[in-house]
Amino acid sequence: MVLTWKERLDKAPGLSADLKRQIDAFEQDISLRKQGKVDERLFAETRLRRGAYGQRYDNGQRHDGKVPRTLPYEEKASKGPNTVWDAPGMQRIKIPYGHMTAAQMLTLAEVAEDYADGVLHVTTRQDIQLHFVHIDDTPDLMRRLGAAGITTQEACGNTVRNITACPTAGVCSTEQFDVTPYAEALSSFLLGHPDAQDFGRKFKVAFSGCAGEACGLAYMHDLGFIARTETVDGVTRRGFMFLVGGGLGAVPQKAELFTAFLPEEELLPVSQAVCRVFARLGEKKNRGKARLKHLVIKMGVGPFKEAVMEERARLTVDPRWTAYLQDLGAIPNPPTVSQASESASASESESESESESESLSEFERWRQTNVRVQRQMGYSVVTVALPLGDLTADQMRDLATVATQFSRGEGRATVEQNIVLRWVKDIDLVDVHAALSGAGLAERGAGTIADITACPGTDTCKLGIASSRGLASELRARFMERQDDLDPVVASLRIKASGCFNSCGQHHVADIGFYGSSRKRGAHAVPHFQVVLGGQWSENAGSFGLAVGAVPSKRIPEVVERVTAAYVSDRAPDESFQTFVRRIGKARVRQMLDDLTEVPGYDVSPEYYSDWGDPRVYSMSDYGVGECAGAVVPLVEFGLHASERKVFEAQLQLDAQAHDMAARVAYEAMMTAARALVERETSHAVADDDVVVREFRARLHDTKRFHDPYAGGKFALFLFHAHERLDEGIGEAEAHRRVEEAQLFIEAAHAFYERTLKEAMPR
Amino acid sequence: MTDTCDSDASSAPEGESGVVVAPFESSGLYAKLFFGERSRLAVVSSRAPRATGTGGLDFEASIPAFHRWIQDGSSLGEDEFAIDVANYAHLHNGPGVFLVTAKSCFGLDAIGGAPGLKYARKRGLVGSPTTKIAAVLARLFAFAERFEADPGFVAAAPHRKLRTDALEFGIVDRLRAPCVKATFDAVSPPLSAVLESLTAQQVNLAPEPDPRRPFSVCARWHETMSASAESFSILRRRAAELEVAGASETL
Ligand code: SF4
Repeated sequence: MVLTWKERLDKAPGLSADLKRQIDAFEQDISLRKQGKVDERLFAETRLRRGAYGQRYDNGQRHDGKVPRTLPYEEKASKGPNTVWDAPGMQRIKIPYGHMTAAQMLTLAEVAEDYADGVLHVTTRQDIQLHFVHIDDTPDLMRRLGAAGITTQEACGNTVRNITACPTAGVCSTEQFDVTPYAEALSSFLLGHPDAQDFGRKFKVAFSGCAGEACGLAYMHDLGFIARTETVDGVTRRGFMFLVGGGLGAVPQKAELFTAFLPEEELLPVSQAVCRVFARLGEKKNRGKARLKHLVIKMGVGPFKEAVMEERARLTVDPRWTAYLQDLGAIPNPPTVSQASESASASESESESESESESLSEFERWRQTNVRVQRQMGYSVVTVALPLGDLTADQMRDLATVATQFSRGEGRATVEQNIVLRWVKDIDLVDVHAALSGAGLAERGAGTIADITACPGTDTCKLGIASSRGLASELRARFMERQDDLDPVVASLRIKASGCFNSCGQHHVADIGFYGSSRKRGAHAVPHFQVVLGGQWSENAGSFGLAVGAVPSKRIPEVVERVTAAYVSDRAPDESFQTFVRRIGKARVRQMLDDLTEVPGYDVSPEYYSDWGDPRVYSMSDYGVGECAGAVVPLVEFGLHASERKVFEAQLQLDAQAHDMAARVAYEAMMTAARALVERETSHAVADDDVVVREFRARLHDTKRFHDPYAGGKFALFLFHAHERLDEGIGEAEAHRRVEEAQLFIEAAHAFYERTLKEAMPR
Repeated sequence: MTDTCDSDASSAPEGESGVVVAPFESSGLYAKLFFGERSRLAVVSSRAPRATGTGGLDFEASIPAFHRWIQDGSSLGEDEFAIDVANYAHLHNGPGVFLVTAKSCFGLDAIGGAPGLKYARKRGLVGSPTTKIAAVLARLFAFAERFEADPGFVAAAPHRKLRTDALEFGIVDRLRAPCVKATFDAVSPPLSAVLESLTAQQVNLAPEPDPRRPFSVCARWHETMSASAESFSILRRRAAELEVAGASETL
């Protein structure tokens, strides 16, 4: 008999008991949802919190370019509102600060082949995404990733998303210090943290090693941390410039300064306090106003800071806040390569460049754009430029081999949708280039105008309005063809494209940004892109670009041509693109692009009516409902659902004659429901069972709020009795009774919750 | 990936001793026909920077043909319907361009550096090993038939014909069909039987040697027919017959 993945990985050292339990619970939710026993909204948010996302056409509708079609999926329970069970979905995989070991790369390659389309997509948050994944496959996919030390937990949904950091942290010459251990510590601290479960929207965090470069993009995050040191009385301390309330989206908001110096030991507790304030005071009903930035604007940064610091003062000390700091000194800082081998490397490269001109000139050109010297002498950082952020499973395996051989067995995904290899000895660069070439991974132009960032857009995103990937592919091809002839000031610009205003492609912080929109012309819709110019990539996304108008998708390459040509010819000496755009002004830019906005009739130029890479006549009629943040499912509903799952487990234990265990799990089921209701009342996570019971008694029982209109207070007594008799030996009859009581208590908890919702409704 | 179809015998990795496999409990079966000699071909994209060499393939040129396939509602197999077209032509030796159905993909693919036409099943395949193998081959040949008959598809490979002396068969399921000798031993008898029945020839099977990759074999025989829509139509019908005949086999 072939074991299942669950059986096979049961003892896998990487798969923690907690993660195993979570994945088993998710698998059970899948089967309960199939039986219609879990509400679709709740299931949708549950799967989103495990990174299982919707994908375009999963509403069962698709316009084929001629007619809208209903895709004839088998009738089944949905996997969320308007989401067909069997429709392929997207799986997002969290890769904190983009760091992957070679072994993890191999696992990622395997799951991409076994469950998706064999392609791995690097996102603008340093995650990996897989497309065309069936929901039934996701538990095994998660187990295999879990065994490799990778989680999908909280990759989507109203949660703390993947925490990002400079991919060159630890090897960068401009950084104050290596932010890696801090990003790692905050990632694991907030993952599944009870105080970070009740948000109205997603929550994004970034670290940057310095203020001047772009890598961390701290200003466009809910929480941004920029490394700083402070010397007082001759003692140098590490800390962070701490920014709050930034974000992109339809209306970008630059983060506000919370404090110029947050000492390192305050990083975790203050972040925790922000989470509590956000969970308590953040908007929950109106999604459009639910990001942290809205709360910061509403309260003002001063009062927001006061609320956070009050909350901070109330927190119970958690040893994890500072435990990781003890290990910092132990982080290996490998020795630099000796001067001798450094000069050997240089002379070797030179002699080769003279003799083997053809291949080496390709190497040299690649080196110019894709290799950056490391802070540690003798080492380099190599950027593997990925077209549209994609690589195949075979390429990922090849990359793992290169990483093992040349870069200490690790790579880091970047927000520019590439992967960097660090600690590559200069002397090995020729070999690395050769190995990457063999894998089709030695494309040059990293960090240039040809290295375009694009979100999934209409290719796979339910909210996509125009084909950001199609456009990026077209522009990239044009620039790659003539990259040797590009004016250096043009080559250094950044282009970023989003398929809609939600900004996943980060167009606001590009020199030249685009986001998808649609315009009507006669009976037809025409794909357009809004042009956004002059965003600032450097200084941690220091300022946002200027929207100058919408242009038909097919004329965007001409927009790029004209704007870059004007910059080359009209710029003042040393004038940056941002300054140039602001100097010439929106009116002049619009004038420059005016004729490009014209849309000829369909009969004259039908090509305007289809998008890049998609020959169908463009239509918005199959546009879906997004899941970018999921529905806001109140935390209490997760708790009540978890209690039902537990009482079901208790029933199974009874069936297996495990009476003690059945009674124990039945008690836990009641406690889970009670905790959910208490936390709703207190707006705080409550860990201790005694406190839950005390608060439940005071707030809900003694006030008679929990009382059933007919049965009075008896259901609460079930909880109190079980809590008191927890350690006593349990016989069969009592175990049965406790499971039944748990069932009744959970029913009562649901009834109570519904009563409170009704009471809260406006008359 | 080692070039199992253009080189002589390769051997399957041994794998751990006692490894239990059940390749035909999987639905992840695929089959692929090649364009010409693998080593002489370069896949290019009209949009990619790599130069277009003579005899090169331009997968992106096939995108309109795939969309027409969806629009004209032609059958893809009785339990399948098309969802969308995915374009990965920008990737080196990648899955190229493919039509996605709820259970499978029909694609022009260059994985392993071997450009070809592929039908890859993902789910919902039932029956005996013979039925499953034949079902996958019947759909592959139906795709090849359509490919050869549609000028829109031919634009993707203007000077190339599909080979009729070899194909790749694989199972992408590392639980039931890891890339090891035990899987090869389990797959070879029914696969040889189906292919020999289709080609009326002895077939040689060479396994994928890299244990990190999905299990696959390259099957070779002497060329018997021209690569035309008619030939693939005959192969499709024969495979469909075997699919039905396989239903009476014990599982
Ligand atoms: S920007 Fe819009 S189209 Fe792009 S991934 Fe985000 S929601 Fe989808």
